[in-house]
Amino acid sequence: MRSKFGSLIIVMAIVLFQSHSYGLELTDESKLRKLSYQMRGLPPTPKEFADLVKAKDTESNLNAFFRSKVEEYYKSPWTASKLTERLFEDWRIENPGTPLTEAFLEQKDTEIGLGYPPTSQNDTALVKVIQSALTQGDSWDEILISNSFLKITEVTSTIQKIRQVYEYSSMSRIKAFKDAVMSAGKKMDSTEEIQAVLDAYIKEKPLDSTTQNPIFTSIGPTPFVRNSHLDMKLTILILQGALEQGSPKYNDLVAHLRQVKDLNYYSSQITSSVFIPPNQTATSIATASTKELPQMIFSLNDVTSRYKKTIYSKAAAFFRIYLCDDMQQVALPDGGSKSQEAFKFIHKSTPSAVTDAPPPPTQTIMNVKPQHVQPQCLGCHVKLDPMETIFNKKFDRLSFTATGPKQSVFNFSYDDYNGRTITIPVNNVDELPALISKQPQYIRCQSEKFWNWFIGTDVPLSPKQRDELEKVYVTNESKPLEIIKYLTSLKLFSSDSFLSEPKQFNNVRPIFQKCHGCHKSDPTIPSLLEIPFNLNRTSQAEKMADHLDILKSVVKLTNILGDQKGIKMPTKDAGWKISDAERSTLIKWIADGAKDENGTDTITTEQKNKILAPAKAGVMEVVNQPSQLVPTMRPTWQRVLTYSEIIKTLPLKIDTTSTYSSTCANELLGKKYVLGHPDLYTARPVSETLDNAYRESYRKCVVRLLKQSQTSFAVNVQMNPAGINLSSKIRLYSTGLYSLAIQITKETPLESVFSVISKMKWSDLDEQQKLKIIQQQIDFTVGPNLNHIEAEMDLAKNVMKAVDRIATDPSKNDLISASYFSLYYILNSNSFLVY
Amino acid sequence: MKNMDRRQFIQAAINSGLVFSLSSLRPESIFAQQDPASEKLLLVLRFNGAWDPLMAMDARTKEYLNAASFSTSEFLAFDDRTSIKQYKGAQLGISMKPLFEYLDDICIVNGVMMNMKSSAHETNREYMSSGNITTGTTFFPFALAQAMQRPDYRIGYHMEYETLQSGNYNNIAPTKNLVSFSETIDDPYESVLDDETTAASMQKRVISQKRKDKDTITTLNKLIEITKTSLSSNNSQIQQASLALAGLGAGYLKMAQVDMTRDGDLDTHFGHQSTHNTKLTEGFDHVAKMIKFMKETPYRLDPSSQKTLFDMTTVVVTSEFARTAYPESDSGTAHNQYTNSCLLFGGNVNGGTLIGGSHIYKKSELNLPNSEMTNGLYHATPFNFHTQKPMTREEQSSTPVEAFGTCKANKCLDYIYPETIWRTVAQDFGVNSVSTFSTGPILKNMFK
Repeated sequence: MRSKFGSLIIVMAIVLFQSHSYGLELTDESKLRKLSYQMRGLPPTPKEFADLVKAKDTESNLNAFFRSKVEEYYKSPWTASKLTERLFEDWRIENPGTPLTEAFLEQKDTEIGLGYPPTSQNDTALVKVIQSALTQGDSWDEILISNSFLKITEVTSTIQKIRQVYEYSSMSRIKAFKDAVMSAGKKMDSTEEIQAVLDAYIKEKPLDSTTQNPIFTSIGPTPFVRNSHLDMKLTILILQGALEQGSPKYNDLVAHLRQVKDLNYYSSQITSSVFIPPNQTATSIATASTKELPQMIFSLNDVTSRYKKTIYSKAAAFFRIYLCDDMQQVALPDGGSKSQEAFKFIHKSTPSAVTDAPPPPTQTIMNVKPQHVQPQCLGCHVKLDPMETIFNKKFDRLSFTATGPKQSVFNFSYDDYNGRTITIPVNNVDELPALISKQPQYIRCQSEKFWNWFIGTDVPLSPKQRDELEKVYVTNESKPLEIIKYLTSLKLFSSDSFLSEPKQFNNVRPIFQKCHGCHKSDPTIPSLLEIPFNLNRTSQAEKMADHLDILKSVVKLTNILGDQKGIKMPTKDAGWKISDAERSTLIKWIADGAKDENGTDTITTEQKNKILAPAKAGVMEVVNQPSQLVPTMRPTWQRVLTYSEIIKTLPLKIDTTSTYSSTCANELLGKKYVLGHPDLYTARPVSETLDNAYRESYRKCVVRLLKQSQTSFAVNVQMNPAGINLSSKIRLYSTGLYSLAIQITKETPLESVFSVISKMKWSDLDEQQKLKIIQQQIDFTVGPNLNHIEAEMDLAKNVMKAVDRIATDPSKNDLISASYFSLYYILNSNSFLVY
Repeated sequence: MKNMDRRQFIQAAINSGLVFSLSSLRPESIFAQQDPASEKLLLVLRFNGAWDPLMAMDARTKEYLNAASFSTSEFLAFDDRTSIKQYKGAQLGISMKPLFEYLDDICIVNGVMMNMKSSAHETNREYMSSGNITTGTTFFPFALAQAMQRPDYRIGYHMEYETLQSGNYNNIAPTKNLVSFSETIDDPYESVLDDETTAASMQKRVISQKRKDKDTITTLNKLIEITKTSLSSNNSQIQQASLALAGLGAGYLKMAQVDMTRDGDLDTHFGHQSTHNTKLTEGFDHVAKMIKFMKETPYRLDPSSQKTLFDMTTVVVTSEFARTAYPESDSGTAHNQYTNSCLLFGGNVNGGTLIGGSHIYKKSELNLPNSEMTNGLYHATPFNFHTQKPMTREEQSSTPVEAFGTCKANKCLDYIYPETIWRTVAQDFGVNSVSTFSTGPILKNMFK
């Protein structure tokens, strides 16, 4: 059945390919599942599926439903966490924080859900800061270029300081204070009530340095409380429990502190153990001097430490991250034999004929190092060197002196998307951030990242679509939520085509961008960034004639149709080669008619055939056979779920009762860079090079869970004579035994449900009971997909057969072991891996 | 647009190859069988950041550095930069000290000419460790395994930063992952593996390969335990070298390449004296420990084995280029791609050998083409491949520039380049042609 079905799909795929219809639209349920996984890393809940069914009555309801889901998901820390990871991939730095391991499970009504990470007490790691910024609704520009981003760092560390003081000496006293007030019949719920109590209290007993403070403590005021009058809003928030774990007031606290201008000064005052009279400091907190200046992520050590001495040097990374300029190394001219060239330096018998070579004319370009003046190198070095100088001066504050910003003029140069070099004089480094965020290339670069993350790198972004996207980016002030809302509302988000789209110019543009790096300094070579390729022609006919010739030359010089020999371009020492993937993309692009950015063919079928004629049969076969097309795997948010997306939530869901240091959760979470994400060492998506480490860890994990479960059952038999212990509830869920336990509790209310289950055998169950257990596990781990219940039942049946076979071994026939075998199977299924 | 239900999508995705079906995870390559009869192992150790051979294998005497010969702008002199040992007509420096007792095992190659067009770390690092001048090259081990037509050779690697260019060579393993293998093959789920799913067939293969490879994994784990004491280091980069050695010693890896130092450790543009020797010595100290360990450890820990790990493994130690003779600001040294050195030991290496040489030129002695090199230049000496000796001054001046860099029957005058070294290593591994560099002269004294 499986293979017949597979053949059918291949046939269908070929038919679809030939009819040039490549899109395959996901159903609404699959779209929800995709959305949920992409934004939260969790399957939707049964309730969400039910809501979806209800929303389906009208198109507008359905759209509203998805919009509300995006908003809801965006608020979850998991979205922030996932976006942060995307950022780290983009910045090529390792995740310095471990907030996910702090995640905990909570029980909400009857539904078992996954709780979000609590606000960490100690985590000031970069990841936490970015997460906070995102959940606080900061814009993308604010994260990349902003002092508000740095503000979050300060806020996080200020909260940490206040919390330390609070926990060390104030918490119990504040509780005692609240108890005393309440026992006196006063309320302390609303802001007004708290304010009234504090007013009355402070009026009665001012908090100066000598006052004994009977309500707070008998031994004197606590350091924090002593100066709480300096910021009553903060005091009220603390009395409302803002510093407690998981408090709903925490966000108010963050918002409040973001208003404070000089947080360092503020925290030193507010936590001081010396009494500070209100009239002295109330103003100084508000008017404290500030050195707020525009910032960039490159002033953060966490980011720049990655780029010290590597090909990802700071300056190059700057252009890559802000302007999507990869800074491809360029070829240097080969001046004959390299041996002779070197030998000339030390050779004594010949006069030094080369000594008086005139300096290259471009040497005067400001801030360019003399050793980089070879014309070919200038293309990059005019951009890199000024920036490098800035970074070497530690970027952040060197331009700032006691008397104000120091003038340090430099040229900020970059290449726009047409390959033109834009040069802007900058008077002071502090102007740079604002300047960059206004560049069209910056907007294009950043908005395209969102496109790649949510729609996919393989899906062509047409000029019209691009304009619209850039407009969305700008009009919404680069708020990620709005950009995500826009992208996920596009048809392309839910048309999950898995066959390669016809290639358009923007699929091959990045390859030509690399050529441009070397050729830009030579006006006799046409720019390959504009299509049709031409040598500054004005008439369309001339352009098209040039285009065909240039295209032919490109094919010939790169020899993409032949074997790996006789390649003229890129030159041997160009610093890059056309990869196999790039090669097939180029061929495919030509085979598809060398489409421009609008998807219009720029060559006729006849011309195409002529250009591709020298191709070996094998080459064309690959291009023309849809079944052998390169799958459209995305570098980050792939259509297929990566293991890392799953393991992020699963161990946390299943493995709930133990501490993380002793469970498989840490082991699996720690492998994130070895699994679905680009490996930092290979810079390739790890799905290409999955090794067995994951399988091994995962197997160990399931075995460990099984053992823990067995122990937990044994303990529960002793501890719980009847009924279901709450702490075992999730365990029962994950093993699929929850419904069964409920049933047992009803039928034999006086017997321990754990004892009953421990004695049960898999082989004692009937088929319906078995399927129910497996289905519950599927619902729990994969998430129910009501529309495709038949397909899932198919999976459940397969799993059941497998477990039936293993249960023939009497040592594995007990219900707990059997249920883990079935879980193991579900997690190994392909169904588990796609939306 | 056709609406696909999830089931159809899954199936279609599997058929299109989109879902990396579990059977494609290549367990066979992870646990491929080795052929013990043809063992010959290779380890490449890279000292990233560019070492200063003047402190190690290509030092100069105090007399040579006499102030009368060099001005302070032409040479950055201090005691740490002068030789402490005379060796085979050359000089060895202070950082080389940990290796002095193993000189009979080591072949030193001095005077290696690098890529003159670039003084970039990345370009020259890859060039020196692969012989391929193109950046984005493949590692030499990858190229060698391909040339040997042994795609089954598992190659370990540890890179400090850069993108790994594996040249489509698939059988690779990060050394940091070598600690993650369990020798346990008991699998409580084994009995479910008669299922037809891809998951089951994958797992079945893994188990069967693991059974076959059980001894190797056991040995690997044992060796890793041993190296934790005899080759311990607090430096995480250096630890990778120990892991690579354990991988090779167990027969789990056939080749490996490890970055032993970070750029920041050796790239002493400032405070050369205060940092460079410490870091270089730390690296060489570990290399010395590795030699000892290799000599004491039977291959695969097999006591009946006639060969030690030292006998089996050719180790090549490289860095991107030398450092300048003259000072930079704050007593630092800059990049010098006009010479370099290299160390080899183990396997068939002709220990106790010194090949090639270098010379420090004053500005007045040079025919300089541009203004950048204003100071003394520490430069590789051209090499006579016919006599296998550095060219004398007379030879050099009597050789027209046009005749240099060409090899004829009885005359072959050229620099030693990285590819010269790797070409020679490849030949020792029985390969005459490696795709990443051209054919050419070899260093005949490098191997026995």
